Amino acid sequence: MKVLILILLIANSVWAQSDCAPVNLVTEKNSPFKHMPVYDQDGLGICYAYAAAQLIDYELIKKGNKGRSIHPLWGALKYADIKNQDNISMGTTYHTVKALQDQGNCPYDNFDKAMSEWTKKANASEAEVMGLIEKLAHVLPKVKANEVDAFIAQTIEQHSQYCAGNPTWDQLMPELRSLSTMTSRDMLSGLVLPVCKKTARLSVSSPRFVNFQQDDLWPQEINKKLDELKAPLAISYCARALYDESFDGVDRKTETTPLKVHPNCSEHESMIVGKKKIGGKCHFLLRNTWGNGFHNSNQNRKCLCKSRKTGKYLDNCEEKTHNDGDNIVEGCWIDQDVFAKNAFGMSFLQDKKEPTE
Amino acid sequence: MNVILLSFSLFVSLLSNVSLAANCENFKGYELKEKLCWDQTIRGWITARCLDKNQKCQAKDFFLTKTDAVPLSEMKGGHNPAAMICHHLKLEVLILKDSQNNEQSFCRFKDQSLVDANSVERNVK
Repeated sequence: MKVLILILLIANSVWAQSDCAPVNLVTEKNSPFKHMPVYDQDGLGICYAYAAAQLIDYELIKKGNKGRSIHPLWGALKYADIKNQDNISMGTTYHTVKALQDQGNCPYDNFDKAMSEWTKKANASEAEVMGLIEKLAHVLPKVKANEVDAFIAQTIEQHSQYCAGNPTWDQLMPELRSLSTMTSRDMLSGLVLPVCKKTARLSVSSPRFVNFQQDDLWPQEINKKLDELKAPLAISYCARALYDESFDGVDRKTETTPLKVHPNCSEHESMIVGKKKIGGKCHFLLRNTWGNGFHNSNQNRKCLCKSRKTGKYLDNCEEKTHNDGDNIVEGCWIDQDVFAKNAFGMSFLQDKKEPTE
Repeated sequence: MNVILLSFSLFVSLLSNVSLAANCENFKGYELKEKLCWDQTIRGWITARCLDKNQKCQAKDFFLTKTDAVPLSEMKGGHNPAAMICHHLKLEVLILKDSQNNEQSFCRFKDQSLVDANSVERNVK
């Protein structure tokens, strides 16, 4: 037994030193990521929908689409639809891809235009509008017809403490009032009905979800999957670890205990779009949805930058020397141990003959 | 002497305009189109007029003192922590796009001046 453990340990250590052949899906020739901006999700808890949109768009652009097709917010609304839930703030990439496959897509520009009508009228951000809709969706369908206006006004007042600026919610009253005739589920999906009645069928590979119950397996499996698919992976992990690499946010499932994610983990989902060795250890290129600048969570990290002026990539750029207004950040290289200790799910697109798990 | 001083101030003014032009970009939101310039002192984008020392600008003044830390509970659910700090400080958050459609969070102050949310987060103790 001891010999076997020793062999496994040696094999693992050999893997850590020998594998991790470089992959970079952002800088590769004709990369779909050239057509997909670095997103910023602001205060919306829909990282899963951003991940789903990027997985699908990557595949569709590879197949010949000229640009991105999926609006992440549309994905989040469809997720809420199939899960029959009245909020969009938590979800999974796997089910969002499934939802989009089942219910079809509203083209990016159409959805964006419809959403902008709401945000313009309300003089509020997408996050603020969606926050209000979520609050209304819980209760509005149960409110008596003659109390709808008062209830909306009361909800707006409660919601306003979370909004800065000068929202003009009264301009949205006709739309909000009309939502009261819908079920709570329909309120979310019905937001943009006029332009999204006819949805387009999405033809992409099936989503897969895997979860490994040993820390050591995570780097190996991410590495293997990137080599096999040559396509991005959506990783569920504790975002707290981006600020503190020593953070260990996941207790793995055992025979007697379930998987446990620590309360201060800050559950998040981002794209893994590359790998390479730095200082002898495998690092994964994480494309986050926190904007295109040098985020504070990436201080002292090596990143992949792109020049605004020339569009040229600069690898191993760093905050202290390259945060100069010219370089935007496409992604940063994260130590494999971060995912070993903090990953709790991985989604990708793959048509497979045999089950993944 | 006056001519020399005039020429010198003209030269300095031109130089500052050139440097502004070199580091500015138009960012777009749903309705808003804002010229933002790179400010190396805060390592972030800021409303163009804020670089003029003679102009009042709340976004610039924000960096005169450090801001108190934001409770850890603010960081949850994968939200952008930099944007959440703006929300916590009761500042409006705008997502603007650069010329390549990349998105970035900005905090908007009451005088309508904007600044990079990443810079705001860096200014938190």
